Amino acid sequence: MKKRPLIWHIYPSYLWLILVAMLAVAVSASRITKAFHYEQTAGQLTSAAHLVAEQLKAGAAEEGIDALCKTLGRSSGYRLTVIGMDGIVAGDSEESPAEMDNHGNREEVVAAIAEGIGQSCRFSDTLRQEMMYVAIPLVVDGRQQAVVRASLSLERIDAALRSIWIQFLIAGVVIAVVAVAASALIVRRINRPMRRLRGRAEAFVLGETYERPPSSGISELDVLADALSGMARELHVRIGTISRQYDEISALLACMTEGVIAVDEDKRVLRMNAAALELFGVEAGACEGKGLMEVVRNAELYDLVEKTLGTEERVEGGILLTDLDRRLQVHGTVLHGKGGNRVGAVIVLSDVTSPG
Amino acid sequence: MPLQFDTDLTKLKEDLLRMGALAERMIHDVTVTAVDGNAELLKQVYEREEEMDRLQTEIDEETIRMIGVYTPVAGDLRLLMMITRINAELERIGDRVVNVGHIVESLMDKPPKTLVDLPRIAQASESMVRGALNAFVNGSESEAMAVIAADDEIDKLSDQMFRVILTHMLDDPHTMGRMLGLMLMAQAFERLADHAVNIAEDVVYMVKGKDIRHLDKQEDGGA
Repeated sequence: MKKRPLIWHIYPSYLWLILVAMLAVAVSASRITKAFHYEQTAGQLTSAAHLVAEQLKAGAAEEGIDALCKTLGRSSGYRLTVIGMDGIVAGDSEESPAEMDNHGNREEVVAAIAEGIGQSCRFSDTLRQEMMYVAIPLVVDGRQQAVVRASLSLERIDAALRSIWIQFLIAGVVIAVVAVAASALIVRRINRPMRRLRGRAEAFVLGETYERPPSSGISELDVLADALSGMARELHVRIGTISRQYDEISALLACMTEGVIAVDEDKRVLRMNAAALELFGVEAGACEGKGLMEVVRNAELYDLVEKTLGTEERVEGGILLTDLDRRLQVHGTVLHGKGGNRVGAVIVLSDVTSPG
Repeated sequence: MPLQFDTDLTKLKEDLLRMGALAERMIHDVTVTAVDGNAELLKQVYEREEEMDRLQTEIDEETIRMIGVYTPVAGDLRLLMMITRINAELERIGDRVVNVGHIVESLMDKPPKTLVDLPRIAQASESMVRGALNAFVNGSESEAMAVIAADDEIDKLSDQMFRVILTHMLDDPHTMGRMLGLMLMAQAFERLADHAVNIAEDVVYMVKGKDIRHLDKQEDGGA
């Protein structure tokens, strides 16, 4: 597994969390703003359409409809259109009615005639932009005489929504930078006591007494420091016990006049006492881990070790060291581990060379 | 190289050193027999030689298997090649010791009155075989070179012994048969020392990757 500094574990998750939260807020705010503006605009357009309808009811002549639309359109800022029941445009605040298509099949016009009010948002072929339309029927003496339509470009609403998104983007960048600084601060706060812990642990490895560092103020790290402290105490006791036992065994082996060789199951030398080292002319510390044949090249001894490793019985035999012209009596016993499993053999060698 | 290669290599070296240990013991026993006339030891020498033959086959087969399976390169390949060569040298040492054994056996009825320097040559050749194997174990070029240098001493001893035997033969022609036996034994021990030198040269190649065989001849030719 690839190792990364702590900040690379904290910062990306922080950043993701913040960015996802910001995106959710931005989407939500955008939808609410859009709905609010649409609702407001629709209300304003309905009011404007009613005002035009009332003006028309008040007696505007048919040849004056287009002029009325243009006058009211200029003063209100809305586009105002009056459409006859046959779909022919009678007046429009922006264009000449003669150049305009038949509007009888427009969504909002159809809805106004059928339901009393029609609303739609769509692209205007005349003005080449997204528009919101609200249309109402002009009812005179209980009969629908025409349809009055007010409309407004949605550009303004879209611009407001774009502005919201840009603000959120800027906020995102600022927050990302702030998150780096915040993560660095958090990491530094965690790292400082961890470095102290590491320093104490390294000092302990080098043989110094382990001292628990002062409280970090972070409960998890304090728990870890306590655990390390306990482990160090326990290790200290165990190392002391093992060292004492090792010294006792070493002293015991050093006092023996017989040579002692301990080997593992693969016939690699685990230990040789001073007498064995002297007997075979081996330097202390140069034999551990080496194969028995590399340390003591004696086929008879090798066979006896092999025999010892293959039986639970005590093995006895004699060997001759041809280079030294010495006869050795060999006793081999299998070594058992803590769980009773066979881990090697111990060979005891006694010099039985006849004097002279 | 996989861990299994190291395990197999350790076992292979162990078998080779076992052969070496058998060779050392055989040289020692045949020398003791030549001096003491202990026929029981000769039986053990022949038995050990049979074991050496078996080990030689096993080591060769295992080396070929390891080269095929692990396709070793550089140092590992050199080591395996040298193991096969040292294996062959040790087997020849075993054969020569058996030859000495047969000569000792033939002289048992009428042993020579004097062995001259035979025990010295035998011990020196045994010591050289031991030294060559120590150099192999320790991967030591200097130990190997010491073995190669010791060969001159054996050659001198052998020449000296040849002259003494010749004098004995001229003084008393009746001892010719026994003295001839002694000469053949001395020659065999001298050849044992040559095998030790071959092993030492193999060790130098194994450690340094430098072939020092026939170096003297090349230098002489170039001079």
